[in-house]
Amino acid sequence: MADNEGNLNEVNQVDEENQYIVEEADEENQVEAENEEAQISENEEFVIQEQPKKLIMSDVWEQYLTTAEIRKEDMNRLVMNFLVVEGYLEAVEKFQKESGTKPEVGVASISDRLAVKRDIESGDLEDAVEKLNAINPEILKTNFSLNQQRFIERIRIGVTIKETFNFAEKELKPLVEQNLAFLEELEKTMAILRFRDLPDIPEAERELLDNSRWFKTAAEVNAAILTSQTGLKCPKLLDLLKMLTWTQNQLDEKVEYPRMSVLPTGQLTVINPPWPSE
Amino acid sequence: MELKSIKDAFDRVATKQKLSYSKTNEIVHMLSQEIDKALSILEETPSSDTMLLDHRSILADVKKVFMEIAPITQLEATEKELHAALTKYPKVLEKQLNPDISKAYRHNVEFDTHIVNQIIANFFYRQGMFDIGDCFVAETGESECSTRQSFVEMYRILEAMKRRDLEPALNWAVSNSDKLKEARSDLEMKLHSLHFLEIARGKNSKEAIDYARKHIATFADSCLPEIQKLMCSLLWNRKLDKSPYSEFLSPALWNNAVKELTRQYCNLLGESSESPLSITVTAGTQALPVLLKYMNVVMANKKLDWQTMEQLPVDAQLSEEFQFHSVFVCPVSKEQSSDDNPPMMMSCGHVLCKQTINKMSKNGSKSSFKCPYCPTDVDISRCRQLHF
Repeated sequence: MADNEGNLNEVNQVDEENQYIVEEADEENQVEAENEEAQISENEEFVIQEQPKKLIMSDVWEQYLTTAEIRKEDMNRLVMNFLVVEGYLEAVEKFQKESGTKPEVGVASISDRLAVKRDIESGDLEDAVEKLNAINPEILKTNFSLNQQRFIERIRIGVTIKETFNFAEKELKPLVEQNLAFLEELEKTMAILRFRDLPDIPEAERELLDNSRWFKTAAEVNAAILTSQTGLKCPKLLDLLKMLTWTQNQLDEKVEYPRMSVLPTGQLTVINPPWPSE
Repeated sequence: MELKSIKDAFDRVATKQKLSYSKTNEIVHMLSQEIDKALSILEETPSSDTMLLDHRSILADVKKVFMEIAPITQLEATEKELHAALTKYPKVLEKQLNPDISKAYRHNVEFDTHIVNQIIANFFYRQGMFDIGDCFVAETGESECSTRQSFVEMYRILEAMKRRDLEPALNWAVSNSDKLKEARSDLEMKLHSLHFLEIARGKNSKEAIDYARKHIATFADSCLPEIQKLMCSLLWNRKLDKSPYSEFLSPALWNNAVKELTRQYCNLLGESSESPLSITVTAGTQALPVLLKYMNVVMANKKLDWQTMEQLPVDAQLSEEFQFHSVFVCPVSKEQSSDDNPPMMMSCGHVLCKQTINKMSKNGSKSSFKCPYCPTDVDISRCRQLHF
């Protein structure tokens, strides 16, 4: 009699902790009941080991997920935002037709921005400057990287010292006076003037002439145009993914739960109870 | 030397003197007024038979007033205070400023007149006083100083730099470029930088850039950050004072260049950058107070003879720039090394004084002994004297 009461108490404890109802065993199924008790005992040890963290099963987690209502229109806008920011022009047009979602900025604006970026990446800086001035003249006045590249291109082309120096005085110096953080970079740039020919420039300073800087500058200018048009620097989807990662890291400290471990597919890790659910 | 107490004593005397002066003036003025008053009364008295009696009466009154004022008594107080201060002042002076510094002089030390004359002539030439130096050399009968011409040139270079003319300095630096590199001196780059800044200020940016291409680019390996700042400063050429490079207008750049040139110039000559005479006098000035204090207090009591001592009886504590030779203290005997007891390096590399080594080898009767610092057996014949 006493043993039987003890077993009942254990069953109640497990029930409270795991929010699962286990039917009471009747005498007719004595053997089966013993097996169940053994399993419960194992589960109890498992629970004790994981005491500091709360445990959430996969099916419970999925119930939580279904409570979040996500409208289709919101998803469509999210996708469109991504396509616009990344400059997938044709995709934008087709997606608009199929879903009826409008992009934040016109297709022409996207096209112009992409043209500027392409010009910078190919080293056609003056063409890029013309287009950029047509889009937003303020951007050219505040972007140090682009003007630095223009200065370097003048040296590469072989523009006269006087003209190159006047460019630096007129375009680069005001930028540094506004933001002294650019001063060090300006010093490196101006130091190139002491060489007569490009082959004379030593390896340590040659990185200023590297073509890879064009891509960096292009990305900067692209972000500047985006910011001026939409107030965004990168796709909203990217922000959401960063937020998801941050949130999961926060949760990891307190809860054991089905983690979204594969972002591209949205696959969750599985946490199932150690006994078959009835 | 503590000059504050001297100044305090002097201020005290000055204060008392001012007080005494104003007090005396006050009393004299008072007496003068009384006399004037009496005189005016006398003049008003009409001539009469009783005039004589009246005059006597008036004079008696004046005398009475004088007695009441008691000028001598009043003056005595301030005079006494002034006298006390005046008496104390010479004592303070005597205590702080030793009038008899000849006590520290050892007249049995014989100077080589020839060397002293050369040092003095060298000093004149270093200061640019070539006429005085030549006159001194002629009068003393010394042969002409071998470094005269070199100092003439150095003086010319430095004078030109004071006029912001760098050409002589640059010519010298370029012709000694290899030696300056050996000495790891950045003097040449310093001079080119100053010249670059002068060109940028006086002419235009293009000429400055041309100058940089021709003269400054070769220093990139060692001075790249400086070069970068110089080139960038061109953008603020007309208003350097309001730029991130306002330091380029500082006279300190020129002063540093002058010092560095002097140092390197003398270095290449094999001369010290400071005049031996000025170093000696300055070091002596630092050491003199300590010696005089020792003379007056300790030597007098102990009846010791300063003239026969071989070593300084007290540590002189000179500044770092006046310490030219290391002093070795034997770790065994705890005595300083000297000419007759020099430091000796043993075969194991450790150093002991010669007397210590003699003792440990039983004055040569043993051919070897154990080093106090390590397990090595030391062979006496292989101990070598060290020179710092």
